[in-house]
Amino acid sequence: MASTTRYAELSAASAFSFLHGASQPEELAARAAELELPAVALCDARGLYGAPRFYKACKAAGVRPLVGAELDVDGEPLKLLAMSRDGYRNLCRLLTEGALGRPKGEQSYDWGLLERYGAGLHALTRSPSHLARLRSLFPGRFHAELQRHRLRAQEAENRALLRLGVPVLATNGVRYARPTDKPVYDALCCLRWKTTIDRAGRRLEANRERHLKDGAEMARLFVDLPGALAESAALAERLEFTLDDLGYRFPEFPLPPGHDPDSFLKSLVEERAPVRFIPDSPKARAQIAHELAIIAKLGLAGYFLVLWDIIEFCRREKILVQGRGSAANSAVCFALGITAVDPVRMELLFERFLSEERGEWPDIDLDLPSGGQREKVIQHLYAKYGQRGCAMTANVITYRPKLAMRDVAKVMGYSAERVDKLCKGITSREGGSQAGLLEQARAAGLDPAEGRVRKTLALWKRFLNLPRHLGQHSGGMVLTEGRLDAVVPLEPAAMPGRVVIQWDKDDCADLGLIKVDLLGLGMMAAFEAALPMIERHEGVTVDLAALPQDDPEIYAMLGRADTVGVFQLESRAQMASLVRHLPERFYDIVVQVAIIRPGPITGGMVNPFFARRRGREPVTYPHPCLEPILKRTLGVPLFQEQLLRMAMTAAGFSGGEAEELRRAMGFKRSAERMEAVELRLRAGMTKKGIGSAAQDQISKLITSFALYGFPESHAASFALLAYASAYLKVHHPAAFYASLLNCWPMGFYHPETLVQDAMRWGIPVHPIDVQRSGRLCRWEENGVRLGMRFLKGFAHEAADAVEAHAPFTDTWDLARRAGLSAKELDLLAGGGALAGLGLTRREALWQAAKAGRPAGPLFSEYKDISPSPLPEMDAEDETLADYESSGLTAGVHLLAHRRAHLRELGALSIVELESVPAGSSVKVAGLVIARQRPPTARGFTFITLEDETGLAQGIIPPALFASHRAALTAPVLLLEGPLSKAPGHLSVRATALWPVECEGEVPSHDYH
Amino acid sequence: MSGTRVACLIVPSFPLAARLRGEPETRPLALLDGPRNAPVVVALNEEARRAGLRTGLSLPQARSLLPGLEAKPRDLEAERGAREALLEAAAASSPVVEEGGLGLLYLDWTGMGDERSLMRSLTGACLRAGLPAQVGVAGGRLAARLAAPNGTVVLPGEDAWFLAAQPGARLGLSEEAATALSRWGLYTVGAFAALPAGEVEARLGREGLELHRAARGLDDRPLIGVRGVRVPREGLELDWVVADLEALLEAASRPLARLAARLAARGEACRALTADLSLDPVGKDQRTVSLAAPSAELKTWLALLRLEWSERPPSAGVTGLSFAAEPVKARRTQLGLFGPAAQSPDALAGFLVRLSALLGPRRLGSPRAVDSRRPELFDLSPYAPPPPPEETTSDRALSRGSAASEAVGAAEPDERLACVPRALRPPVELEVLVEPEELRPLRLSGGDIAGAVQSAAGPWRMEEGWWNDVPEARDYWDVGLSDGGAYRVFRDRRSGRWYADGIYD
Repeated sequence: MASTTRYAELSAASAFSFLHGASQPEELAARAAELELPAVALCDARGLYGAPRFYKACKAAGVRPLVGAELDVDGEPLKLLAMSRDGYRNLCRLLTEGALGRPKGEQSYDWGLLERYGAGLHALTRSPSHLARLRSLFPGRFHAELQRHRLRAQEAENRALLRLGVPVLATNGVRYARPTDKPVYDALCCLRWKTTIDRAGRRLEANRERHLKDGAEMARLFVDLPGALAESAALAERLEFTLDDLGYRFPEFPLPPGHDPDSFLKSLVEERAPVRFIPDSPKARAQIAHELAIIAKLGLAGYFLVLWDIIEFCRREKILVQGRGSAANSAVCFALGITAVDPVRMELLFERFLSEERGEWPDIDLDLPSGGQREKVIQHLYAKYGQRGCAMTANVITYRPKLAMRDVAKVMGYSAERVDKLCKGITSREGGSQAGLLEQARAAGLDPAEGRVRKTLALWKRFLNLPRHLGQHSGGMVLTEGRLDAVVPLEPAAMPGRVVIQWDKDDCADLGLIKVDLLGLGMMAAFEAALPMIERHEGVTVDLAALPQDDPEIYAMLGRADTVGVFQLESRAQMASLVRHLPERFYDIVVQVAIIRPGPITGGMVNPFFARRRGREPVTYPHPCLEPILKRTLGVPLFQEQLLRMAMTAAGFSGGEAEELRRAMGFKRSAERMEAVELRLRAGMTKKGIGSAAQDQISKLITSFALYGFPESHAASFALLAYASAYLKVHHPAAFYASLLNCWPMGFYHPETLVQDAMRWGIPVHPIDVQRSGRLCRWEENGVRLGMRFLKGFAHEAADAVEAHAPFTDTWDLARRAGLSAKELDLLAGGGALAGLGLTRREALWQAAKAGRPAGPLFSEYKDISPSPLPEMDAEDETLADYESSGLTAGVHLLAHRRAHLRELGALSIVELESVPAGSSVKVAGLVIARQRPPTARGFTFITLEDETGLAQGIIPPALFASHRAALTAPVLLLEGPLSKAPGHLSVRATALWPVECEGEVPSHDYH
Repeated sequence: MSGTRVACLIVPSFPLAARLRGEPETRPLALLDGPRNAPVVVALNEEARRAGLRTGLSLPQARSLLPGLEAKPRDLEAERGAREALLEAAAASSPVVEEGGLGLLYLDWTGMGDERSLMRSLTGACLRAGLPAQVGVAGGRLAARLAAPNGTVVLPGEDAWFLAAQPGARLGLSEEAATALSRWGLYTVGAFAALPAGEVEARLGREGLELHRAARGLDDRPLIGVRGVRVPREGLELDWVVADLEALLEAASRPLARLAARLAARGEACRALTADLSLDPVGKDQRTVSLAAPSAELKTWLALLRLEWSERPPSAGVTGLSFAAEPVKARRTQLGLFGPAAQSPDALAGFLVRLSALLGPRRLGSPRAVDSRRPELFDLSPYAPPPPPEETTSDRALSRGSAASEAVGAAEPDERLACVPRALRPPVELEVLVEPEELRPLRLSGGDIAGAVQSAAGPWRMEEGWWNDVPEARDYWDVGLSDGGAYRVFRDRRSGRWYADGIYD
């Protein structure tokens, strides 16, 4: 569609105008290229949200992507276009100023801001009221914008603008790429106005003329004003700025005299390597030299120094930190202490982290204790680089299938019930299944052949992946030299005190903005809590980085799958495989972390590995050349790096090419790309003389598994944490359990399970007691004193008040000095926390009910010590009262109270199962502490039963599940079926099951 | 309240009883309530209870225990109608009726004579209304309520003795009080009653003290009579889907007849009938048929509903119906002795009802503009004639004058409105000679309009209703013709036909 008229569109909005535009930036760019528009300015509402994607797409399509934004000034839209880098900088600052200091989503712009930040910007307006101010603030840098959408009233406005004698140019005020996008725009308009399509009336645009138009079409519209068109083209040529040069620089690290970044990094690494690499081998030195050379070549030394600086800050502040992800492949990262895994000893693949071919910034994730310590690091970065020098990256929330259907159906006027019904069966995976969708419509009582239904479904498809709003990324932080608000607009996040940039992590990567991911990890927080506890109470300083990795007690514990609370190794599936694997050294833990993942499970790698491990199957290799790569995993590929190395060794790929291969097999893999990859692989293998049978095997392994394989570097980082948590469990169990309980929610199990596990380990667990408990759990006499945080409904402030004023003389003293209400006293009394005052549970309840009620000043000192007329609780009642008030008990297990009854039913305790031969039919009952129905288990349900003696697994076949679905939700179950046994692992494959009646509230667990 | 006698009327599993009113169900049946995605069983019939089901189960849980279980949602409309019927039955037996909860009424029977015979007559009245009820009599509300399930008459002065052995769970406490008593281990009313009153008040406050008094058989609060029902409602849920108009009207006639009978007994008529239809499988169809004048005639209602539903049938099969009649006292209007000859409001109303029954409810009313870019669109609002104007001398003079009197009160012509076109209704179809590229009209003719186009502004493009079956797409032009006339014309872009729909004059 060639056009001879010169015209550039200077006013386009994308879907990143959030409800003000209907097309993705890429669609606008592609359409602009089709129409042979030389340049298009994206002016999204109040921001540059879509600019990076538009820039990238335009560059690929050969269109000049100009940068602008549309603001509301005096209630009228004003567009600002960046003429130069200075102008862009001002635009970013202007947008930032208008947004910061206000609630999220609210912006305000006035002429004062425009005066301050107007330099380098060109203004477009259709408001006559703007023109007088623009004349003085933007001399020679403004135009009145003429638009022709074939509307009577608009033409009158055009004529009014022309009569004012100001410079004019033509735009089309584009809101969507093609006329067919108008329904999407109308639907967004309805959402904006919170109305339905039938009621929107004249709030919808009169026609669908706001699409991208080529020069010829615009020339027809402006046949009487050709100058306006020429002016648009001329201005587009004058606007020099595109996102080619953002002016972004990563912060420079302050260097000691006589050093440049490379030399300083080198000196640091050389200084630390002998301490970190034990032994300091020539291989390690060679690897370091290789990496330093690449880092120098890519100019990344400053980046590593900044990260090292963060690590040093954490070290000074005693904040645990560990780098994870592909950074663990780097010897330099290890030497600097950024990561904790020795990549040389582990033979990890550096190219997975950094390669010359890709020329990308490396991706380093830092795991930090979740909560306050992570926030401390974030605040340190704000302090170091300034409030405007760093910010969190945004997370663009896009329309997923369910949400899209909800909004679209609402717009199309369907009732709330019907909307619910339509949305009910839509899952995120069911994005494009036409048949499934029609079925869904039928289930909602709609006729898919009916016009409105068809239009609703068509609109729903168009809504998918449109941006909906901006959130905050979980941990990505962008740092810059100087001010970040000169590079990208900043705005407040929903979380108080947080600032986010307007771009997401992919935008940052595309435009070369460097981010550091600061991720919170519950287990790190547990370590952080445990180490001082151990030091204070046990007089031992534990250095997690220097733990001996050959502790037989730890491997013994892992071998008997006694791993409740152990990082990454505590799930039912992990426990079941631990007893098959029997880890004996650290690398086994690395394998263990990686093997219970969708990749190895669906790829059929698990059973061959364990068979080889137990010597039941010979270790073989697809080709002898792969032996060095697969030897450690007994010929079975388990890690992503192994597959990359296989491609490198067998097909001659370079490290960078292998990494490219992994990306080609990413989530959006296409058949053509896969085919091309396989062709390259086969060509490479043929060149290396590998036979066709081996080629088939290798290709299949690589192409089917590369996506889902777990990175070895990642597994190694996790294995360190798993080992450390196992170490604490074995050697400092009281502190370990107390910390886990304090950091809950985390991990796999309910606190009750942790408490029962602690008791099985012989760790005394003391109940909540107002005289001795704090808000958090405490180390007490080699045991754990439960904290008041577990009392349901008991406010943190109240717990702190009790902790601050303890000990107390009686209930009235407690009520008065801790300022507790009747409700709070009742919670303490019901949970047995007043036992320390010498009261039975019912005495406490009786006193609490009175002591907590407001008394006038006359009676403020009054104490009622009359005896309680209430009957006392028996032991089982007390256990149930514990569950009701805190969900856990430090006393006798519930099943112990029921043991006599269960014996009558023929049930054995779990420990008694040990003495029953495998294969015997048994009955066993337990509290259900975990239920799982993994998608990989072909409909089988796995439950973990706990009684007063231990844990056992129950396997529920699909038929039994279907017939006893309701009974399975009971908190206590009795199973009957044949017993399977492995050392430390008991399971019953249920042939029958019954719920065991329990009064009161017993903790039960949903499907994980 | 010595000597006071209170009867308690309970309809057990009231939601279920209301749902089944007059239609016994012999299969196991559960009534569900709660969030749409996770309803729980709130009532069970005897058959279901015998199979071991209990309330509080989720439907899957209940069905896993009893696979053939019939489950129905609670029908609030049926419950409303049943409640009203229950109140009416009770009101016939006592001057003061207090509502104590769902399907629970207290009646003042002080000095009412033979209590056993009264009980029989009250349960009989309820049964005739389709509601199986239980009645208990005692000196106070609590004892009467606990006596009702067994049809017990607690002799005067024996309330405390009767209550002592009752389970505490039957006290009907607030959640807070129930939690407290359960935590205190008090499992009978007697155990609670045995606590010292002062200690109970010190712990549970006024509410606890009142409950404690009741537990001791002391009830001195007079009954508070419930107010009558203003807008009567009757409805039913169907066990089958009705898609046919005749069947729908047949199904509607039963609740409507009940409604008409109740209105007639109240000496009232209906001025608006709201019909709520539950659609298959989900959704509601609600429409209010305004009666141009009040009427309590079942025949008129059915005629109006027939027209309404035949003109705009429900979008899906119907699974339930409910009707509410907006009541009004019959109109009695006195015409002015000296006013202009005006239509009697009653006669006008009767006429309008008949007319709308003939034309259909959406074909009679006053026109109203709608929010649309299509100038020909309008909607109807109910016809509400203004009261006859006050008679003045000048009015009388005018009334003798010409038809120009209609212009009285109109604003002076506004210059700004000079270019507003006058609508041509219906639009005049034109034959148009166009310039081929831009389709600009050059000459047009049709009706009284004809001439060469001297000037034309446009096209002004209007596209609307893509979401409907027949979307509109028009190109408007403002044209000046050789004869001096100026018109608003448009080309329908779907059919290519031209119309004039406005004249600038």
